[in-house]
Amino acid sequence: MMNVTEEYVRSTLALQGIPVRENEIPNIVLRFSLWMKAFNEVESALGLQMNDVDPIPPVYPHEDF
Amino acid sequence: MSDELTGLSGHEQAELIRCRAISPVDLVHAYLARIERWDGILRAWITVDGDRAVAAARTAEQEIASGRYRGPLHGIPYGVKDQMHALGFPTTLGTRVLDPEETVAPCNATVIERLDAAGAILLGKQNLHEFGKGGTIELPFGQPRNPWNPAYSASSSSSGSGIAPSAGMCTFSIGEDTGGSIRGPAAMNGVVGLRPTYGRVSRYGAVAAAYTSDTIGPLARTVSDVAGVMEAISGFDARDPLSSKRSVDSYVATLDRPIKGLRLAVVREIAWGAGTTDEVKTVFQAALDVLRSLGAQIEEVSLPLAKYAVPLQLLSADADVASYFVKNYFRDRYDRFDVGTRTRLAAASLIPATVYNRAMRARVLVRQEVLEATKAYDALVCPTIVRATKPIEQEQEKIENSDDAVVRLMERRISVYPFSVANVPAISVPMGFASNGLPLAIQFATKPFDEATLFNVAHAYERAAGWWQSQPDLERTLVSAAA
Repeated sequence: MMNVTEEYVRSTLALQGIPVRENEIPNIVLRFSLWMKAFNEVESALGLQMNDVDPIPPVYPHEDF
Repeated sequence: MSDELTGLSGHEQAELIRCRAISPVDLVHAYLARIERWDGILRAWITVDGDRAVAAARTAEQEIASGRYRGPLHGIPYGVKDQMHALGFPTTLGTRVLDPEETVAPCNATVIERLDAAGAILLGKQNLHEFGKGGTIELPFGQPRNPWNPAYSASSSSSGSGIAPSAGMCTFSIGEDTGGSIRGPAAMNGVVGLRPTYGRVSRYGAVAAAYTSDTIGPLARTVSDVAGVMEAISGFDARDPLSSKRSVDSYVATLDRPIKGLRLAVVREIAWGAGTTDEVKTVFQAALDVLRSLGAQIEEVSLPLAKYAVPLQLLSADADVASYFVKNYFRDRYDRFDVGTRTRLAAASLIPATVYNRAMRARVLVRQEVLEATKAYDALVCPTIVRATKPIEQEQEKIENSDDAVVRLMERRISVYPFSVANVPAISVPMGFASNGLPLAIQFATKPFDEATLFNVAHAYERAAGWWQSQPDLERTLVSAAA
């Protein structure tokens, strides 16, 4: 399970040198938390199948249809 | 006379130009007059160059008069989302982040080159959400407004590209669709919009960073016009490393094939899902009846993984976009980004590589499910938008933390994202109106590179249903805003 903390958000933004305004931190924490909750759902539903495929970008020129 | 010209379809205009009943100069003047009159309210355009367009129209007029008619786009005026370079126009990307000298176009996008070669006339660059991302709160070049009711949203991110053909300000537009940015504006503004197969239209000269999903495609009032533009802009381009070498089908010539016996599958989770309103379901049922009356077999297919498309796209494509901006502009110009854009990009920059990798694996599974369905049926069908369009303020993205926030995230654009994740072609066509008077739309999707079937089915529906003839009467819909 991916659990988002405000500390992770602050430190990772700082690591990348992104000068986020203090009053925007709650918005970013909320957004990122929501995405990680959704990711946890995807993992619990598809995790085993995800182990069996390669993460190939879905671009077409080399495929037949 | 001028409003009569702009009310015609591109096909009708082309016939009149070909036989020299009208001049491209008249047509350009007619569109410029409507832009002058209405764009102060609708804000579909960022840059319009009337002198350049009139000069190009005079050249087209002379060429046609001397027997050098290039084809059905010769002398036809269009606009392009300001995300694609066109020499002589600034590429603003709808942002305050760039300094003026950074907006100078370095080249023509391939789509611009090809439309030039076909004789089409570029009127100008169209308004968009910042950098072609959705979720911009304050648009620096004005708030795009829906021509059916200016208090309502014109969707994102190719907002101006949807408004302009709907409002009779150009014959067609070129937009860009990563997660529905052509189909959404087409649906909400009441025009046709195509997301082509990935690789079918060159991305060269477009400024876009979600390389796994970005596609360029046309919007116009009719399927026939969209098909005609696709014939001109499709095909291999060595300057786009992910451009396909497949030959391009003749889309217009096969439009009128009967669709009797074709198997169309309604996507259960989108058409009848909990996020789809009863009103949309009712209008969609009526659209299915039209297709049945044409002899199509209406069946049903389940895509249970479709609900994961929205978060998977955010966890992968948004991370790709963030990786570009963290290196470029974000560290030293953070405050110049719109607050909606910058908080979304900041969140996307936090996605760990391990999560990105897992999301890309899950995208393969979602895509496989969609591809299997497209192999089993001639086309998939569902509403393009699952509820009626709302007023502008209510359409803005709300960040929430309620118990059902994840479900709402998944349902927000469930109707368009699965086909983006799968990178299959999908087209939105008007299917009537909601009780608030705003357009609703039906969407068809099919297997990669089979745009010809898509156009065939969409055209048959469009002609039988007749909604393409409805155009917003701006004298009526914009009267209060103009006062």
